[in-house]
Amino acid sequence: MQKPALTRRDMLMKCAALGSLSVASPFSLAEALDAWERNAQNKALPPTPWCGIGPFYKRRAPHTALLRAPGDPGLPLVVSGQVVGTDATAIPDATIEVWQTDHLGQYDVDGYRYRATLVANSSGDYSFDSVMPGHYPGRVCQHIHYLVAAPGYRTLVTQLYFATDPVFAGDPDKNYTRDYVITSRELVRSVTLTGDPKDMHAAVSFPIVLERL
Amino acid sequence: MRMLVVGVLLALSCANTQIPPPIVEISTLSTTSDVYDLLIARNGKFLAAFCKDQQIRQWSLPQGQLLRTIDTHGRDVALVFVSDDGRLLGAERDGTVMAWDATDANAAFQTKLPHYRAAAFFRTSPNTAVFSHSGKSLALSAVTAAMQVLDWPSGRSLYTLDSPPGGTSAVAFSRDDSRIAVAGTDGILRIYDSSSGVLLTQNEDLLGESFAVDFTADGLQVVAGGADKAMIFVDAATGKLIRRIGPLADVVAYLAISPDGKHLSAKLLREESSALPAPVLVWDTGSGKKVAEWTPPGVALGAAWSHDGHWLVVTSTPTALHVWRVY
Repeated sequence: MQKPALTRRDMLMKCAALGSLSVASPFSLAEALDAWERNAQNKALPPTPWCGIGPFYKRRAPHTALLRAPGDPGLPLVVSGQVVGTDATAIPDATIEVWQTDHLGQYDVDGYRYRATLVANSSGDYSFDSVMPGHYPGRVCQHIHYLVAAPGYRTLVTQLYFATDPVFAGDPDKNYTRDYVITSRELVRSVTLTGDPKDMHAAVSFPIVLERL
Repeated sequence: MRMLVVGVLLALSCANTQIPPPIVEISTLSTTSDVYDLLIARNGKFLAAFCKDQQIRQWSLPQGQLLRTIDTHGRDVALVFVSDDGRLLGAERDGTVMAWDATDANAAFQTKLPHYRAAAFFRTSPNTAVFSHSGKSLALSAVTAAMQVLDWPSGRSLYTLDSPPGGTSAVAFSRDDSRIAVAGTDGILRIYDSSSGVLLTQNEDLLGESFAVDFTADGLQVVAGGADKAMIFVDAATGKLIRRIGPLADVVAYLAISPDGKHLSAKLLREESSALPAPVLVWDTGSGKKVAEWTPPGVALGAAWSHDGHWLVVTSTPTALHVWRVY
């Protein structure tokens, strides 16, 4: 009996499982394989989905990648990613404004706590250090707001969500619509926990894909 | 005689110290279904509510007479505007906007906007869509697209107004309908010529989003307020800041200038939760002095100046809507 042929994706997954392929990028393995396949087929990356700006955006957030002050309560969180165009080329110097609540779910409306303006480096990479946001009353899920702008590209307004959010009950594929504001499953990102129980840190990868104007 | 003297002295005392009139409940509207969303017309003559049974009910004020019930046929509708003559605008989360004229229960027209904002957060703020004062045009905010100005009743697009990436959050026509003021989610207040849609001027004195905007009665100034916990008076011709009121205790969710232009009122929103009661306030526009402040027994779901110059606020209990005359 003839065995069914492996698809290209199956083959790449097998390579990854056997260690002959590893992914060192802000994308997950599945996303990296998607990108590989799209490149092979000369297909464009889908732009990062839009998600509403929310009521507490504030202009002129400080230029800093450190949103978390020493001693701030809450789970330390590092968010990183790469800003690329739909053709997968890096967008250097993209401006990324982020804002979120503190660990208790409160926005700083009077000042700029947990608000920042970032600039992607020459490879389009960005990163910031914060805490896991709390649940803002009136909103269902923990989230971080993004406003991403780059010359020649459509400005993106979106939000980052966390697969570990209890609202998703461990199954964001099935439950992400519990927050009607979430426009796409793509915005719910997996969380990597590191450290020991006394010093736990979370890390999230959130790549951004912008459309050309 | 002694009582009369005391009464006269009390009246004189009140006149001298400008004690505001007592806050009274002027109407109690029975509801058979929980109210999800509520609006009052700009002139205070109509109140409309979207209820749990998915019916829209519309009352006259201050009589509290139920005028009509509109069956939405199972749709979840956010009410976004009630015109001075009783026309209604509602929106669904998918961006469908419906408009009903004052008497017909069938929608006069329906259009679809990309990511219409009304249902997203401040469901009770009548700030994202307005009829012009003449009633002949209609401005609708959208999040990812430009604001649309439509002809009524055809629904034909007259022009669009540029929108910041996050969209717009409040819009108002001047009383002569010659200008449109639009508050963007980027905190920038933009003022347009309403006949052409051309941007005339803008103001960047607020850093956070404005949730409410209005023109002064003479149309010479625009008032805006929102997340900055302050309100600003801006020259409608130059965009220059004239005056700032604040800091206030909380975020400004709604503001309105009285029919005679002598008072400015605001409904605040507790930043930690919109489910908590927050103050409503009234200022004298000439002096900038606060003349009334009241925290209602429940969340102020709607507010408006009545046509005869009273500031009305609506709260709800499980079986009724309560209309208060605050000033």
